[in-house]
Amino acid sequence: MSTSHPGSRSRSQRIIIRSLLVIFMSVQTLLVPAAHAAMIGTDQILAEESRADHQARIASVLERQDAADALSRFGVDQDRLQERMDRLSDAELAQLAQQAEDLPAGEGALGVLVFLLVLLILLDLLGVTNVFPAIQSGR
Amino acid sequence: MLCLTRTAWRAVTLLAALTLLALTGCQSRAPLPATDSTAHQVSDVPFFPQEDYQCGPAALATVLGSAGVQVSDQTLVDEVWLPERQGSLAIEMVAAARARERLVYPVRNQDQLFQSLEADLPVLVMQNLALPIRPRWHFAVVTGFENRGNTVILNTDTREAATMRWNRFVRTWARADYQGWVILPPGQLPPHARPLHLVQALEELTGSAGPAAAAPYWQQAATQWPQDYLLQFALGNHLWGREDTASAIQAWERAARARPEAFAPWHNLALAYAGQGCNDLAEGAWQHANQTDASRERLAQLRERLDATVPATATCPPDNL
Repeated sequence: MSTSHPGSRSRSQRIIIRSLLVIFMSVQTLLVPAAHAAMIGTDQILAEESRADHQARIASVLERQDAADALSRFGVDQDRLQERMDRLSDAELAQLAQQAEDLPAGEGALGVLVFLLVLLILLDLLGVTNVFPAIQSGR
Repeated sequence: MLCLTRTAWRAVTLLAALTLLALTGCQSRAPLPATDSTAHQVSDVPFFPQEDYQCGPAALATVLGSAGVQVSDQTLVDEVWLPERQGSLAIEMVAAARARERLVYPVRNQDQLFQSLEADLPVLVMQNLALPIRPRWHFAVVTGFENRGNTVILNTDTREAATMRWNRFVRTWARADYQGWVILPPGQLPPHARPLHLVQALEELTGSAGPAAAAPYWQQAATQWPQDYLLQFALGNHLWGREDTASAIQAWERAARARPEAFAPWHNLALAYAGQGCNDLAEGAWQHANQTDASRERLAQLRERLDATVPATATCPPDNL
């Protein structure tokens, strides 16, 4: 019986075939995406842009007169606020932006205060404002 | 010892007021929709009467049918019904629509809802018909409105074109966190589309159904936002993935023109030019990349890649940047 049968191959032959297959496949997977992998992908830019978009939406609330008044009453420095905002994680920013979007456009001073309070807690700025002077005096 | 000053008292009062607000919160919120037309009904919306499965499969079959995908609600049961949770998860519904090569775009507020209806797009909505603490989830399809938006028309459970007062509807919708979606026929974009969310939605569609499914929507988006940085950059990547190098280069060029101070378009352009053997153009793009605020490592990496690129036979586009 000389017809080829898988079992009739010698052990070394099988090892050679297998290792050739492994080499071939790994080389192929390495080569094909190489040209694409070099490009800057959409996901990276998308993450940057959505962060910027969230920051812009939060900023648009902070620019409102009632928000600016409340912040100055709390004694929060706008520059400091901006600086801390850069440290927020993407998820925290997204959450704040969603809240900013849900605020009614015209009135709703209370809604703005809730928003500011959440913002200040997230930014860990309560201790340095005079909202809670008792906390500040404890330092 | 804690000494409460006047400001601290004010803060305490504020917190008390906030608690009150949280307790009464959503219930009072039912603003009237802003719409110019008195009534509108989306035509040719199929109808699947269903009482089981929270009406998820039926609602999904309805919006899919409207987007040109003929599928029965029974076929969708296996895909979107989770027996152990006794519910259709919104995320499964959206995934089932994407798997059928359709773009899914969120509808998150009343303005977007009415804009969609006026553009003849039925809106799949999630509702909570009971209380927030003991939710009863339900899916329905808003197919129109009348009475200046004070009444909405829904295909819901076993009723076709049932009417519901806006105030009542918006409360059930708000309790489901304003979750809603439109499913679009190939090449059509929702009226409230914004580049950022559109690119996100298109990336998700590409992820589940492949780049070919996203192509007709990309084509429309490309003409609608010819000067948008993000959209044109992402379009370039889409075209590059489909091996349409010439069009990809054009899209990246538009992105670079829209925002010359951004590194990413110059980076991709430089590599694409170099790959085509257009060394002058590649060096030009490299110069531009060098003037952005990209980090040293990224610039060095790009330089390395440019030097390592083996050019093909040159057929270069004109230098118009």
